[in-house]
Amino acid sequence: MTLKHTGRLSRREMLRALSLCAAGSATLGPLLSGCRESLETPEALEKLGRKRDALDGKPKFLIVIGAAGGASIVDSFLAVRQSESSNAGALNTFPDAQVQSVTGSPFRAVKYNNTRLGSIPIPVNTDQLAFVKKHMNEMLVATSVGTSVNHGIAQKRSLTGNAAWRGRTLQEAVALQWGASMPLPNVNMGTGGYAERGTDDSLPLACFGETVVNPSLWPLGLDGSRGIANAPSKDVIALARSTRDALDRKSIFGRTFQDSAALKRWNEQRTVQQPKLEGMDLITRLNILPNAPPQIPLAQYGLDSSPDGARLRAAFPAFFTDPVEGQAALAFLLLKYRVSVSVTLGPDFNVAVGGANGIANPPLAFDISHNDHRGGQAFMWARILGAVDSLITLLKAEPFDASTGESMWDRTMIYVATEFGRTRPRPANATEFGSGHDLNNGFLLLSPMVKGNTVLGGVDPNTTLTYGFDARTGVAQPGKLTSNEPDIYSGILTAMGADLGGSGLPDASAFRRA
Amino acid sequence: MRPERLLLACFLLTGCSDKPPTAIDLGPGAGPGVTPAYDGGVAKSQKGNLRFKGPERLTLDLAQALELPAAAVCNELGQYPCLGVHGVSLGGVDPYQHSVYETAPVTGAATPLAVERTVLSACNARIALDVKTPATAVVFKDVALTNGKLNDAASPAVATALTSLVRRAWLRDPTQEERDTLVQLARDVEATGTPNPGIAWMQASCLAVFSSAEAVFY
Repeated sequence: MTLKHTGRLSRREMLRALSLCAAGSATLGPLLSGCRESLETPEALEKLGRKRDALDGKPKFLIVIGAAGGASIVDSFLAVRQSESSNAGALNTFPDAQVQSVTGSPFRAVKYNNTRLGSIPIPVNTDQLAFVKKHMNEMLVATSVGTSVNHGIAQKRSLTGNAAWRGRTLQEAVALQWGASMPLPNVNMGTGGYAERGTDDSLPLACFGETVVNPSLWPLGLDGSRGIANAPSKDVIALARSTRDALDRKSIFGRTFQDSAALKRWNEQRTVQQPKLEGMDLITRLNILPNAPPQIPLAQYGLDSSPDGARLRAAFPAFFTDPVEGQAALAFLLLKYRVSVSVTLGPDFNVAVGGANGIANPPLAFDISHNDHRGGQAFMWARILGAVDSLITLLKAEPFDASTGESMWDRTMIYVATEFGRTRPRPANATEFGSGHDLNNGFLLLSPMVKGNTVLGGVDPNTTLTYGFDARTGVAQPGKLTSNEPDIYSGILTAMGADLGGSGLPDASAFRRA
Repeated sequence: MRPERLLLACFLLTGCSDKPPTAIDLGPGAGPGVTPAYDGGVAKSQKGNLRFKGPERLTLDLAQALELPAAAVCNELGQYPCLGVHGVSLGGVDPYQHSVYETAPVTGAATPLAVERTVLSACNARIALDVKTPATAVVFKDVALTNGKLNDAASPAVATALTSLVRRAWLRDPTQEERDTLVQLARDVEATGTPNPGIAWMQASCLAVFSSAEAVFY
């Protein structure tokens, strides 16, 4: 070989080498070029989660309730009695009588009474027992250890499993799986990190949440002209739109920016999504408001209340003033009318005036625990469980498929997300004390799809810290205190029966009803 | 050729896409070799870096263009300011009430509808004033109506009104084709049989111009 002697190739050797390279380029080309197109094979897309399995073609629904501020599991379903703990006086344990058990269930229920909530002079009288008795067979509590005690970060991680699946949120995963035919697959009414979009930019845009901040008035924006005084007829609106679109196409501006991503998206939203939203008459169907002039003069503006308005107002009487009640009512309608497969709601950190005693939402929601841990937890848990109970009642009464007898509830998952737990120490035997943020906690799931009446993991009464579990088998692992955010994330999607092919998520079969 | 150079060249060659290079508009005076993409004489922007106006800019632009108080631009049910009701749908923030601290990176599914409602409300307010008090009309000056119909869609007054409308929305004069399109709209509206077709045309033309991409992006 010439190369050995001269360090150069002869003409024949060069031709041979070139032909070998040419042959190799067909297979090596895509790899070496790093071209994105080469990754977009059906198999690769399936690994990204884009290709869905056939399933049964029917949607499933996810309701995320962002329990902002840190909903503590040891102040609810895993509460510890004083008599069970060797450190009872120094840790957050309850007088035995306040922790109630239900026969045949691992769940506990806290009963709490006080004449004030921290420095707020309102009575707090709550009892979780009725809720546990009613829903225990569709309740699952999974213990958890998070990775952040920063509210915003922990909120988001409770939805992404700390970027367990390319950074997509649970809501986005559900929207991708079941929301393709929905006009707004993922509606988000949450606060802070619960309202943030995930970081998986490979998802279709429709999977990302549509933010809604005012659930009672937002449906008014779901039609371009109805409800506007002296608006022209729909025929005229259609002419105006077609004229506008023609002007846009021909204008120098439209032609100059025709490749703009923002403009392409805008045109698609106007021509594809907008007719869908208007065609479903959502300005009526999602409208919880009654005709109540002069404050709400619907009839004067040619509008009607939703056919479901009366019963929703009965279920959520404070819908107009209490954000959580308004959100829950809208959440139900979004699912019922197949607008969305995922809805997110929950209290924010602001005071909401209302309720039986003048305060519907205390400042900082669950985080008022800094000032009054036990009262704050009791008040806020009652608030969350009340909304959950009403939602379940509505969903159970709503047929999903007459041929199978399924109700909406049969295909719904409620995930009570929260940032973290609370610190356990308290001044000796104090009943009113403040708490900080603690990674150690647990999550509440409710659904006919979860393994009901089940606690995954457990609580050590001597520390009141929860311990972990094997996400595949469900076997409790006392002493396990390591982070398990991906297990929770995977468990929710596994219980719902989502296609997790290529996700790399851990096996979390223990969450799923057999 | 040295072998390492040959191998390097081969690797680079195998990494090349078989697609032709995308044309890049290098602007006037650019050298040969790359063909700029033209569309009807307009050079397409390669960056396409458009921004949606957002709720405050949209509302204030409408108020200024149509000479309305900002508070009169749009109110749902006659009393709830659209800036509050649709502010987040229009890409705005709501830090105090709902902890929405950051603007949306892209327009949402409900954004075009919120834009149309805001624009149509503002247009209605302007048209009501122009028709009710012609002496102080701002946009549709001297546009004669008889029994709710335009007397003459091809009249100079209509052309002047359309020029005024376009200038207020797009900050430029309309082309003849654009003006003709909006005049044709008057005939199309009348053909629908809608009552008061002259007013309906004013509403339709105002909506078409002020909800156009050119009016809501910058």
